[in-house]
Amino acid sequence: MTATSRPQHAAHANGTLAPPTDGAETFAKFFECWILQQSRDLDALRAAAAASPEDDAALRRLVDRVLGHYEHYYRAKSAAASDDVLPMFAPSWISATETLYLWCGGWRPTAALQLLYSKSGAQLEAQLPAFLDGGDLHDGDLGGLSADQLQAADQLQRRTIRSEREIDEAAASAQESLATVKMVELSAGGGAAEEGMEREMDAKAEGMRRVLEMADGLRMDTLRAVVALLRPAQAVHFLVAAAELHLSVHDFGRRKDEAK
Amino acid sequence: MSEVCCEVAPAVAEAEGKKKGAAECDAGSAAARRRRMEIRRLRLAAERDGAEETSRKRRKVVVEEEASTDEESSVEIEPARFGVTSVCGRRRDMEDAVSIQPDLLPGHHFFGVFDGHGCSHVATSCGERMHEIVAEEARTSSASNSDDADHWTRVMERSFARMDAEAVSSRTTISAATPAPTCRCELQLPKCDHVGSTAVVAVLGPRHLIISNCGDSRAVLCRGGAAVPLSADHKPDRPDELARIQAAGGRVIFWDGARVFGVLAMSRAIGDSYLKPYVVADPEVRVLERRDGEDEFLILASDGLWDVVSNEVACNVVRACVRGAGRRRRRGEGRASPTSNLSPTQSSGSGSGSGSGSSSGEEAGNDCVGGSGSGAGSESDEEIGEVDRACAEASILLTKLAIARQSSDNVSVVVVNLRRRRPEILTRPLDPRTDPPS
Repeated sequence: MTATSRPQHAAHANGTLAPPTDGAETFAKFFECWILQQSRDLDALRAAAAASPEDDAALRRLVDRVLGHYEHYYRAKSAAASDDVLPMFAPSWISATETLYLWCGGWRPTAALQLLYSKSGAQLEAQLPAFLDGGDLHDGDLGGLSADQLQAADQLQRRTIRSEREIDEAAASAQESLATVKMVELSAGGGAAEEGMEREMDAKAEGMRRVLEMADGLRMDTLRAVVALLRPAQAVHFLVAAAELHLSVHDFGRRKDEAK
Repeated sequence: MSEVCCEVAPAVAEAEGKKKGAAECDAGSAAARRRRMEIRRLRLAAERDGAEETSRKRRKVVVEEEASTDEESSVEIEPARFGVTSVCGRRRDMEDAVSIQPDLLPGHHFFGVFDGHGCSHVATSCGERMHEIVAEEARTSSASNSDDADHWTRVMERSFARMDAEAVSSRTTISAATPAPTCRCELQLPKCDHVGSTAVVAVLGPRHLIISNCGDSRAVLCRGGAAVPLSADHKPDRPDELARIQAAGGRVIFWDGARVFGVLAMSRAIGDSYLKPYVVADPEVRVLERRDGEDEFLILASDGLWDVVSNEVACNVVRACVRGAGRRRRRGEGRASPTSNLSPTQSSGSGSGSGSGSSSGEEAGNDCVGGSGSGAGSESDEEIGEVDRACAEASILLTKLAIARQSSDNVSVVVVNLRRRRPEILTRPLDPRTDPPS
């Protein structure tokens, strides 16, 4: 992995990650350790997806462990953001390519549903010719989403779109608050207003931190909800797709950046 | 169980609904039907306790007698048997609506798919109102020859015109009568003039199938192994449509496809008052005689499906679902299929046989996946029920296929089973070796 040249000092042998300490630098290091963790998770997920027949309980444990790593990531991000929110909206640890796809400081939650549909679609298309020839559809992967699962995904998608819009509104308010009367006065006041400016901008950054908190909350909720509507074997396929997409876009972006 | 008794029951008309005002019609008839169904269920249950085979034969008689006191009509009733799936898909707004009204008229089921554009509220009101209008029109113009092609053509033309008039004036009427709309545009001026919907409506009668279409949703019949389109999409570059638009003084401009004045990519629609008279709401109506033994399924869907799945592939998918269901039954796997896991709330809300209220269509209009018109009946119903389940599976599978093929639109699919259940099938003992009709 080109993105992971630094030593993985924060990763414990048992696979859990040490909590980060302060600052953007520390979070950047944490991120790279986390990326390493994600690629180890991907190996385990791929192995589980390839192995059959599956033991549902074992798959469930694997899925929970991987979800636990995502949760750990957002806990660490939240802690770093309460320390200083600014780097979270201008992350140095991701590539320029990835910044194109940022929504409120991270990936767009509805992209998880699109990913589910795409992976499910690819696996359905793979089964379709045999099915039309008189074979059976098997439900071992995402091609076999049931009616209930499709309905749950549809409901989740609509809910997630609504939540995205609510957060967009909150972000709009937070960003529009830059241009208040107070700010007009302060910005016209020159150097004398330095202290007042500091106070005002801190308050506004806190507004953006809350937006980030909501957005990260929705990201994690959406991930959990997608996994919850799937059977363990299907969830493994989804988490494989999620890790593959993240890691490959991250790698691609890093290579692009390095080539400059 | 309720489903079984309805198979052999003659028509149960909405007698009470007829007498009441249009607004009460649904609730009244649904409640009445529910009461009747309850009576029948009780009788059936009582009979089942007794000798099985003899009661099977008696059952028909009992139900017929009872129903004939309800309604003088002698039309043979057939429950609506269908699968329906309607999802947001890859879009961020849901603008499709589906309306399914079993037994809208004696022996006649109503199926409608409405694909909105601009906003969802015209499609939503089509989903809520079209069947009521059709029922009113069919009743008021009720001739002695109620299956007559001209009669139905007139009924559907008038219904679409009324629906269009309501949609265009919905700003005033809806805001006065109903609570604040929840749609995106919130019926604000002047955007509301730029909102419309397709409408493809099927009325399935005992002898006829009536298809009315306005816009680019589509009805396809699977008949004798072939895929027969029953509607022709109203696209602005269809030669006759182009001529009509130009004759009215309109223009078709190619801007991301052929569009009326470079705006609307269909030449007919409900609503869209700002594009009148170039975009019209006149439906093309086809009245087909049903062909027993040849007619298999009817598929109604929005262009979210048809943009990425051909008529032929769609019919093949439905057939493959039926074959698959038959194979599973013969292997004794019963319902254990990837997509047979039907949502109970949806499946219970539909089908005349279940005796449920007519609110099912509204549920379907909001959000539904894989609703089945008929749930599993008793064991003797296995083979029949499996075809109905296959319809539900097919609607799901077609929807998944549309999403798989990156359809960028909402996807709504209704699959109606056109094979008739013959009363003798119900009394025949189940033969596991019998192939399902294919």
